[in-house]
Amino acid sequence: MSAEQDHEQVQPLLSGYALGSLEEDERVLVEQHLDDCQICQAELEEHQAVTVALLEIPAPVKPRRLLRQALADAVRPHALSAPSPPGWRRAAIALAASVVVVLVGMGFLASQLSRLSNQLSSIQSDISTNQTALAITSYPTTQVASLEGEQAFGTFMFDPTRTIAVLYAWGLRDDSGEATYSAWLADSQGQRVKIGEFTADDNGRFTMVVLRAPEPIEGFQAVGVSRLNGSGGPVPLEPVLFASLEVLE
Amino acid sequence: MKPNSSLPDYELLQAISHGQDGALLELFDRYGDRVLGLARKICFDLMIAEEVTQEVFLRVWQKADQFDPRKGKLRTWLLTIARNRAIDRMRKEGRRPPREAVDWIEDDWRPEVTDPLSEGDEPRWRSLRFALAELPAEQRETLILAYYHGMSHSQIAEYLGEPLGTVKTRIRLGMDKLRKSWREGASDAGDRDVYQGGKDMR
Repeated sequence: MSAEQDHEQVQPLLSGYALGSLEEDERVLVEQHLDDCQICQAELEEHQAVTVALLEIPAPVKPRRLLRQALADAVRPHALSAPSPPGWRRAAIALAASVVVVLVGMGFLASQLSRLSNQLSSIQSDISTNQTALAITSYPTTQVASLEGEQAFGTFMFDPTRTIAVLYAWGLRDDSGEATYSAWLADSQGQRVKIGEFTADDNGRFTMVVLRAPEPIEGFQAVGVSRLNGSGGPVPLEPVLFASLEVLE
Repeated sequence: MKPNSSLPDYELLQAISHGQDGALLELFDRYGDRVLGLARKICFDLMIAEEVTQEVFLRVWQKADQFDPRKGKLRTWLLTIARNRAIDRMRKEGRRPPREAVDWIEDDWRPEVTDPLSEGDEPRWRSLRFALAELPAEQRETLILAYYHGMSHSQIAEYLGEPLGTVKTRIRLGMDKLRKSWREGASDAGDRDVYQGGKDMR
């Protein structure tokens, strides 16, 4: 294909390229052509200026004070001025650097970095869950159901008009440390709808998990937690935690 | 007076890269409303938008040293991260925008937008908002799906039940009109605002 034919084919695609909406083959075609066509480069810059401005179009929404506080809590324990200890990010970077210096063997290095990555993921997951829990506690229509069981107990926090909830549970950890639990909601017919699956917290604290229902929670009559067997079915039939949602209406 | 409140954006980011959490909160105070507003338009759920907003600023906390001022403005970098994170979140959860809520321009109408930190582009954004509002509804809707929801042309065609060629034409015509409006609103040449980022904006 001649350069002119390329240009005729590519120019109409520049707007889609700036928006990021081209298919893969079109995107490659545009990028190959841009290397040699200053006309298209200039036109693309104009399209990109528009897309940057589009970032500013949505009306600003003033964040709730809780959101700011949650951010402050998330970073403050790790952001200390000199001399020590450094924040979690700097501690992680310092640890990685020391590992590189001291280690012998790529296998050991790989396992250490993998452990660090898992720790960071766990921290980020905890932060995300805490933020959701904080958000739910601030809604004026949030309700709380007390979960009861033979050995465990807990709290189910939710907004009836929403699909998201937070479960706090104590006493779920079993001796094997490998039990998986399923949280579910029961409708008026007694049908159970699974809203989450999780393992008990492994460091002795309560287990906290964000759950998502397929429809607003106000449509359900009860909430429960059951332990799953190896094939994913509940064991035993009786839930380990249960609460009726009807009394909260 | 807070020690960071008068710092230019880039110096604020440098303070963040040195672990000053007060600087991060200052950045949040400056742009948190913009980030949350953009995230909400993409996610349609305030709680999810708040989570995304948190993720964006925590991302800045982690990656502050990766921002290159030669590539564009901090504000653009921040909002680009926000857009990408919000779209990724929606994709991860398999959520699509409700059909009746896609075209939000009428609900979002604000005749005046004031921003003390606008750095001079505020009038052009207002003009662009007018231009977006004045587009034929089908062109505006297609652009919103492409840019604010990260849909490809074929995905938009499937979502709207329209031919692929129609979608491509609407995108091109709509963007041409916006580009013309943006060009007409230019006061100073050479204001390069596109952040030439890449992986550091996810």
